[in-house]
Amino acid sequence: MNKFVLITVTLGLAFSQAPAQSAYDSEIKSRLIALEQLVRVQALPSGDFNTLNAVLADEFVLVTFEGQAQSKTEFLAYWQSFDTLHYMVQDMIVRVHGDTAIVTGRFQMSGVQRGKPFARQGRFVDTCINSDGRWLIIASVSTPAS
Amino acid sequence: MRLALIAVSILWVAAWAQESSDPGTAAAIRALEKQWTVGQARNDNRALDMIFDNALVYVEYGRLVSKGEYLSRIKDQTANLDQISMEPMSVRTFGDTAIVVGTYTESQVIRGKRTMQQWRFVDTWVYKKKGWVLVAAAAAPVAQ
Repeated sequence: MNKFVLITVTLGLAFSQAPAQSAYDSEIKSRLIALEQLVRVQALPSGDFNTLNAVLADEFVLVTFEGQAQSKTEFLAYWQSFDTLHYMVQDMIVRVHGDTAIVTGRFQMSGVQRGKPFARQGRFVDTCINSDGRWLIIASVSTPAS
Repeated sequence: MRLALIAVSILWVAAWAQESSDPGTAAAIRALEKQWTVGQARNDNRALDMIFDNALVYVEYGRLVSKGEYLSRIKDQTANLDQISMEPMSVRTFGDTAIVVGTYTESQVIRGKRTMQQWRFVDTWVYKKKGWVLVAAAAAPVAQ
């Protein structure tokens, strides 16, 4: 009897927590999509390095479209080489794993870099971590679309 | 210029690698990366199923594929032990998250001709109930 009660209570708790977890994940997903929009669609094209500096973790690592690894400092310097930049993202998907989240989506970017026009399209995968309530991007990969 | 860039890249990767906070975790993650490579080469879906999270985000040749799609492809492909050659990688841990950055060279025979392509990757591992599982993997081709 006691075992039956214990199982019932355990199952009840598990099911009662599921909607709360789902709501939490849903909120995190919305926040991270907004974060990606802020970074890629607003901060990068407008050269808003204060926002980038705040959102990218100090240990941030990027693997670029050309397969090069860049630290946060190198990345911020690299972005200053763009004369103009237009950036679009679509089809974003977020997967939450506790205090870690993966965001992936497709991107199109075009503009002028060091006087030369360019256009690229591909897919990005970002790893974000929750650091004391703030979500930071810790790693990012951009790769050409197939 | 290219030599200088390579030297800077090597120094940076070396510096990043030194910052890896937990040697035990780094070794465990490296072992899992090796298991992945060996499992893939041997079409060992059971081994891969154990180390891939069900919600894995895997980008293969610029295309997003699910865990199921990836495992199906591995199951059907011809086993080839020397298809992927792993190179030095760095592991950095952030609590229950580990980020691996490294390169590998992929060797393929296309229309009878062997081609080599180097890729730089970022893999993300998360520690869950059963241990470390791969939650994301993506790579970009290194420009020649």
